[in-house]
Amino acid sequence: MKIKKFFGLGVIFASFLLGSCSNETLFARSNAFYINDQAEALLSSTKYLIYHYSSELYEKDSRNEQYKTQKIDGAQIVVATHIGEPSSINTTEIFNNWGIGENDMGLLLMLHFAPNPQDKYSPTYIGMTREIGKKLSGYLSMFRLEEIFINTWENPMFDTVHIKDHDYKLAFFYIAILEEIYTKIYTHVDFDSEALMDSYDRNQYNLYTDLIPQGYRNEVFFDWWVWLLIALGGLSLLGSGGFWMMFVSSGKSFKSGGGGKSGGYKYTR
Amino acid sequence: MKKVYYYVIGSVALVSVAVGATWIYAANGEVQNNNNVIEATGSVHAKLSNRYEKIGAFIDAIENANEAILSFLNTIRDARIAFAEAVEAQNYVAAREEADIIDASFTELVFTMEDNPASYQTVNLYAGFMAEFSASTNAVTYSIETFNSHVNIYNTFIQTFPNVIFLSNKTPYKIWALTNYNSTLPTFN
Repeated sequence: MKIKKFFGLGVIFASFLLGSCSNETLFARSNAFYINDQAEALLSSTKYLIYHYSSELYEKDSRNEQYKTQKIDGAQIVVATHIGEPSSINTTEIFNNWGIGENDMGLLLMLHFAPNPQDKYSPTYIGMTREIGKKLSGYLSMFRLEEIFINTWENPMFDTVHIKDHDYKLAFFYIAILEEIYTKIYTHVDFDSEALMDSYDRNQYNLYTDLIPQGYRNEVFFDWWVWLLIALGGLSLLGSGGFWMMFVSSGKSFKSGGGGKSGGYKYTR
Repeated sequence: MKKVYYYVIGSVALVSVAVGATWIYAANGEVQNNNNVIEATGSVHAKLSNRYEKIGAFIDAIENANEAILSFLNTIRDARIAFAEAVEAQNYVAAREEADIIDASFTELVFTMEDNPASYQTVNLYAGFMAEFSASTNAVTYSIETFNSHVNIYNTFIQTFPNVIFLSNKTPYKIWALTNYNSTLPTFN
């Protein structure tokens, strides 16, 4: 009889739990955060370039007392890929949900691809949405970003070499944006984008998969009362050490945003 | 006899407490929701000013403008001044009217520029204008949508029972029309 009661209560609790949670299916955040290749369209060298230099920018180079005083520290560049039409995805919602950049100093580049029936591992590039965070838009206008895009992604050299190489074009564009942020927004005297691009060129087809955190964060949101019940349950497990085991088993390292917001300042083409 | 008195006094007290609590809730809720609308209005004005300032710089760069373009530029210039003055004077109705004039002219200007490629200096300038125009349109649209959702909450709050009893003197806000922002923009390519 007791078992039946417990079972009944368990079923009721589970129903409430499932009803209260909403799985974050919007566009799952990757554990690497700065690079989110859901279309599986990029080479590991491109992903590593973005992961490495975006981490360095956010965690090290933007942390300067002067920038902190000006409240412009914590710039983040995030690159994501998506299969589908640009209109099928709300990048502002994704930007704000991920909290890209501290002090609203974030930039999101969302590349859109169409499935390729001939080769499912090489989707076709169809366009890009560039979205600039609220404060960053005061330092980097869409006009300037478009200028950088034309000089890099649409550089005349791509008429003869790397014609359909969106990895190379993205690397070129990304490095130019880095240069703009380092030298025009922050006060770095120089940024050797040429050397960086040369290095990318030499290593474009090397494998860097092991150097980038893999997988996606499965984000499930609960109502406050569920968190209360979970906390109470956790406390009851404290004695047995089970509570700490929960953390140990879920302790996966991942990067995250700085709480930045976008006011919808974006451009797609 | 005494018992009846207690019942009456008790009932009156209960009703008074209920009415008082509802009144306080309605008054505080109105203030809170109204503040949200005011804040959202400020955000829309800031986005519009930002847009006019940035796009104004491109307009200055347009050379050899033909008569049609010159007439748009004059309209935009006059309306920009009027918009800034209206925001300064907190005359939001006038500010909105001027914003409508400017944005309608912007859209016309973009279409005219597409038809007259000789009226701008370089492809970069044209592409930059399109990028800035489109991005600032998205930003303004986003802030207007936020404003409208606050207006909707405010209007529903003051017009529904029981709040309507205490807030009948409050005027609902008008939704900000997106006429000049949600039209399909010309594409570059």
